[in-house]
Amino acid sequence: MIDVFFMLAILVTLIFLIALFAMIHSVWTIYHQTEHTVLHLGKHHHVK
Amino acid sequence: MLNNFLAFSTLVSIWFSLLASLVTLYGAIRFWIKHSKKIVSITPLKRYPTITIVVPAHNEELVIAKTTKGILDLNYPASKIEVLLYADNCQDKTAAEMRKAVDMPEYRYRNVQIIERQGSGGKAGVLNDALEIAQGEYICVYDADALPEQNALYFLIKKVLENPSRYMATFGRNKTRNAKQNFLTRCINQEVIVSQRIQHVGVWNLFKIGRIPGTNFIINTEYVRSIGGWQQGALTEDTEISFRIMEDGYLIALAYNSEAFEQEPEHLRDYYYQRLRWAKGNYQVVINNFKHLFDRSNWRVKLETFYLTCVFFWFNLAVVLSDIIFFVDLGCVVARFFNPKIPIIFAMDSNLLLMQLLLINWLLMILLYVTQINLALATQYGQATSDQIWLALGSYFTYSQLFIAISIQAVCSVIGDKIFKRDGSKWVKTKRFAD
Repeated sequence: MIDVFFMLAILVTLIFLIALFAMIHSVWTIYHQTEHTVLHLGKHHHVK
Repeated sequence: MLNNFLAFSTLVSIWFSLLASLVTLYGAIRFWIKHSKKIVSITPLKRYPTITIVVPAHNEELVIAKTTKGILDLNYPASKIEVLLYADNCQDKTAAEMRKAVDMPEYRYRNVQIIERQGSGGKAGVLNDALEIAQGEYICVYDADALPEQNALYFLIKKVLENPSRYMATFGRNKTRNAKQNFLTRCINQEVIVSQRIQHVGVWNLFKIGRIPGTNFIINTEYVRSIGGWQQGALTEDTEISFRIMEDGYLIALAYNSEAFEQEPEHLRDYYYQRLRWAKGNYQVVINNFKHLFDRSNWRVKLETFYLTCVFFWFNLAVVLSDIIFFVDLGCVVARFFNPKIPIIFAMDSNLLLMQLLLINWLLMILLYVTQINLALATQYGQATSDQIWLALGSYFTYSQLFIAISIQAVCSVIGDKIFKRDGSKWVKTKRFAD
């Protein structure tokens, strides 16, 4: 049981690790896109 | 053996919940990568349907005037708007405050009715009363503390007009009006942003599932009449009607640009009772709709019921069990300082390598939690700051743990209501603040 669980733990940890890097990359992209869009419209345009 | 099984199954449950949330996250990321660079403009709509805006207010003298002005200033043709302001069983100056706002010269010719109501049924009762007299093609609901942004209604209508025969309702989002007040409101602000920018957006983008929030939404008047109105006595009447819409094969569309500013609880006690009511309402919804998992219901209803069942029963139980396991083991470690023969109860066969791996796994879960919050914040201009990262980390160990206590009390309360046949739909009003 421990062996199966150990393999499962490795698999889940790997998935979390990949998800984390993908998310950090997405935060970076979305942050800059949002900033660019809002600054283009003007901060008080209220249509973002 | 039993100890190991309990520890393993708890951990697997938590993994499963996180993997499921990664699916929603994927949907949200896809949506924001595309939409965060989209430049939205206010162009004339192909038609402007008539709208009845309903504002249920119970002792809301502190906030109602501002909300009334916000509604009357909406960017939508005034001739197409009917406003019904309900002062529901008020003991304060709510109606007077409404009148003061409506009597301002700029609103002189607006179609506004102020109704001082003494009936029962709470918010659902008010909405049902409004349904009887509403003239509009759509009913729009704003809570008394929800100050709509100028284009909020425009975006709701724009979305519904994309497919009026399929979209029976559209909903926007609520921003926290008093986010900077204290630690609690800062945490609530993060939670609200995550639930609306990740949860709502992800589920809509992937499955076209939406759930009507309490405020800032529109719904087709004729449809609500056809189903007999809002269900009275339900703690979350909006969730009930959302299920009904999906059951009938219609959709509740997300208008992500539509924004209203809502006041959140500033004191722990108010927060606790508000969330307890929500949690109880959700438990009731799950119990009432559990049968849909096994009948021939719409797949969206099945998916939503499955999701709510997992979150409110399975995952919550797993989190409570994992906390018990953690504190029992912590107690054993402390006790071993005094008596080294005391075993660690949930030691997972004392496999050191596995323990190290699980520690890394746990750290990754915390990082995912923090990154998810920052991803949501990045979609809103001005929110993604370094302070928010530290706040997200702090909230993991403080604010988010509060929900464990709330869910335990909610379960006990719902079970107690069933056993002792109590009226569990008692509404505890959230305290407002002048701002």
